[in-house]
Amino acid sequence: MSRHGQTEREIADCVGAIYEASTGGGDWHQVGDRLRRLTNARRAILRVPDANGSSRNLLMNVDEGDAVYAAYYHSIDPYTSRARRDFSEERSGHLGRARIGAEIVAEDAFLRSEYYADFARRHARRHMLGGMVGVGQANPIGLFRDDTSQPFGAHDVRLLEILLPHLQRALELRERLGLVAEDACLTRAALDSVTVGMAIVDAGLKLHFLNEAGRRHLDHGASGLGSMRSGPYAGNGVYLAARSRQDAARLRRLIAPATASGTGGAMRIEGRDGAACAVLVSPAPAGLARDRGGHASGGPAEGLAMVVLQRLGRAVAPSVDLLCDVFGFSRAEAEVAAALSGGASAEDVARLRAVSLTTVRSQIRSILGKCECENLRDLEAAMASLSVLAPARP
Amino acid sequence: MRDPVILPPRQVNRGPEAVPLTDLRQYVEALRRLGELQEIDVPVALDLEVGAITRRCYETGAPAPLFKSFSDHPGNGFRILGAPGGTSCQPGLRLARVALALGLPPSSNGLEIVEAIADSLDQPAIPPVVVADAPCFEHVTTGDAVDLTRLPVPLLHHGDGGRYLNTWGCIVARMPDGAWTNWSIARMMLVDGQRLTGIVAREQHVGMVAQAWAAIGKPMPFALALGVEPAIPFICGMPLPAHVDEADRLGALLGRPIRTVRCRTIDLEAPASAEILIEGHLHLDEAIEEGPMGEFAGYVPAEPPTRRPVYHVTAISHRTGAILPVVVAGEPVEENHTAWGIPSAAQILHDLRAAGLAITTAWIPLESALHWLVVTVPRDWRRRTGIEDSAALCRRIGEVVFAGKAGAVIPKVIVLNDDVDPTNVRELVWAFATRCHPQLGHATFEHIPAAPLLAYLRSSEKVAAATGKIVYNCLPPDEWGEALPIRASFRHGYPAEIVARVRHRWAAYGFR
Ligand SMILES: Cc1cc2nc3c(=O)[nH]c(=O)nc-3n(C[C@H](O)[C@H](O)[C@H](O)COP(=O)(O)O)c2cc1C
Ligand SMILES: [Mn+2]
Repeated sequence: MSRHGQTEREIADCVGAIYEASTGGGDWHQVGDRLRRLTNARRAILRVPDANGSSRNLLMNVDEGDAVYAAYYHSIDPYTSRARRDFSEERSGHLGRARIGAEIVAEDAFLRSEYYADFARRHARRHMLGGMVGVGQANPIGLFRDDTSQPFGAHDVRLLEILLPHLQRALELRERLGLVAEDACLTRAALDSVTVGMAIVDAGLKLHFLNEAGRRHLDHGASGLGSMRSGPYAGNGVYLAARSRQDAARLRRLIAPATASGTGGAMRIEGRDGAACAVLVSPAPAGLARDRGGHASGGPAEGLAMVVLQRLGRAVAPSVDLLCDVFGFSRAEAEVAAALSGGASAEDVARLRAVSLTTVRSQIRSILGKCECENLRDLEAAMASLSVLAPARP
Repeated sequence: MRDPVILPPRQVNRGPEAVPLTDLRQYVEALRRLGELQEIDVPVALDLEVGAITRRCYETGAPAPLFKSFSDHPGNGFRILGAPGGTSCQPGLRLARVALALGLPPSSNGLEIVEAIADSLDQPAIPPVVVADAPCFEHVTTGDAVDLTRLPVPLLHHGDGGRYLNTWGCIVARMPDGAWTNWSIARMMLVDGQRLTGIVAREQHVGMVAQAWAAIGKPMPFALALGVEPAIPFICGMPLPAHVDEADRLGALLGRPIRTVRCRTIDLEAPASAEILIEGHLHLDEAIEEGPMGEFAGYVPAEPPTRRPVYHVTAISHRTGAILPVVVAGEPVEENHTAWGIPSAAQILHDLRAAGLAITTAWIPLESALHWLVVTVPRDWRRRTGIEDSAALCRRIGEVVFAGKAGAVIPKVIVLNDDVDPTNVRELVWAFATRCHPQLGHATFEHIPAAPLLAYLRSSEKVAAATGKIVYNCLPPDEWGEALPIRASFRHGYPAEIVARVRHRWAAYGFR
């Protein structure tokens, strides 16, 4: 597996872990582990307020650094104070955007600060990659490297930006589901208040739960996905169904492993109106799988998957930057790949870019090689899952 | 609410009744107790009357007729049992004769019987045991004293080319090296007091063994055991693979060794339970006119007689009052459909499962006269087989079915979801009619070997012994995934509480 393919897989797994944690099934530390592995960071911090008025890191266990931070250094943290200000002033401009430390606080000022000299230097927080997510209040998320490592780069920024919308949604979910208190019990019904479509299905795509938003989505006649009542008995339940044979097969291939061994993934499904739907699949969080209110009967828990559905509006290709990062394309290759996955033929691309067909052909070969795709169909699938993972910003 | 429950293997309850029926007379008594035997005290003609009565029994589900005297033959104390493996019109006992013969509860349904036979194929062989003596040796004639015409040999159908002695007997044939002893059924027509002729097809094992003897320049020793213990004809009709001894498999199925006895004039053992035992040699190099005779497809062929090999008889042994069982082949349901069709379905079920195809059951509808095989699959067949689309599944099923000896006979396979009970003809007709697109998703096979006895074959196909075959795809469109059509029936279309309430209150409504 190439590094690029690997990254794509790791992103998908991380997204799965995020939803799993947010709906009470998984554990936020796993999200922390995955984030750190993806970005090669020593520490990962997502601070959220806790019940007794202070804040707590969701992503890792407390270390000595956290203890001294909580005791004093939080009060002189130059990033936080700056970020809070930005966030309160122009929320939408910051939400979902990742920054490296030097963009927020100038390097020289940072290196001269008491915060750096007495705290950050000693606790592996030399380099910072951060962002803001939150409901009502800004929660800083930070990834840190120590001073023996390279600073974070544009690649890391984009990786985090892929994940921030998911983290944002996860925090919204977590709040709505009342999981702020650790022992809160989750019921599937609570998912009805969530605006994103959510379904719990088994390996046969039988729906064990569908929230209101999901129902609206599946009832939409033009959507590429629908629901289908099944027999032979009138009460045999409802299945998640794709309207085309090919999509149905892809959906099955995505869902079956998620119900069994726990790897998720993503795909997009084109509707009849040209609007696309993002489908994110991950193993069902244990809390949802176990829900007594659902159809799942007793006995050993059968494998279930969670499917998150989101209408994407008209089809969007992943950004050129993202393609360069994830697959290691040159800009020209990224543009060609984007055009191809938008439905253009090699001839179209040659005409549009005013280059020879031979050039385009050799670019295609190189593109397929770099993303380890057998053919243009595979490429299209890879691009589709990327654009699902990195939804266009609102 | 009852899902199509298929009893898992080995759970088939052999019942308290399961005292083994080790000879035909015990079977006749068991039939009598079940109301499945009609003794006929008036004399009947061997010439067509026995055949006509037996046909009417098949077609009405009447008890099996036991004929005791004959208006056109001295009889010599011999009796005839008609429709020994026919179906019954008694409610819940349709396959009682088959089930009883195989040591299963008389109320067993077709799928339970198929499952029990298929399951036995994975059990270790139980070889037969040779016993010292047998009741059939009460009366023995050998050499020139042999006279087949002393036996009551009926003319079964109007238009048959002769009288048929063997329609339900076990032909024993052993390879020259002794490595394989085959038991099978193939019809045998009386030629004269010492000769028989019959179908000895190349693809049948008796034909293969006879060829092996012919290759060393010798006629094939054979034994024909008539009126054997009731399970034996079912293993003789079963298309087991070549080089498998039917006796071993029957032992495995019944959980006990079959008793055999040494023949008097040839080097073979035959079932010790025989009412009548014929011994002799089959000469492939001699031919005489045979047939036609009414056949399993339901027709009396219009063709002229065919020249077929000759069986020379060297000994006849029989019990006093021996019973000759008689099958009158023709429109379903008769023994070709129960004793060839049901074991064929079991063998195919076993083969499909061995090929990794997760199928629920395989059934050859009795009414289809072996021209249809129905294969049902669970809704999650994709996950169980790894095959993605239904057309590919149908092709795979066809490849496995048509490659086997049992499937070589079957020209048409119907693949359905397992909410349909293929033994219920009403349900099957409805499902086939409504779920099968006339054009989409079928798997067709061009020019593959076929039994020449299929009713509709063109003469060129009979000559080539090859024809086209089809697997009808009656599964929902692939985009449905595991969803199935919702059935608008009493059983399926209402909540379980309503179904239970209506059943419970049925009498209260005034129905009886
Ligand atoms: C009642 C009955 C009659 C049959 N008649 C014939 C027949 O005349 N010729 C034939 O080839 N097969 C006949 N069969 C089918 C064979 O018995 C069947 O194909 C069996 O598999 C043959 O045995 P083998 O597999 O050992 O060759 C008959 C079956 C039954 C049950
Ligand atoms: Mn055989």
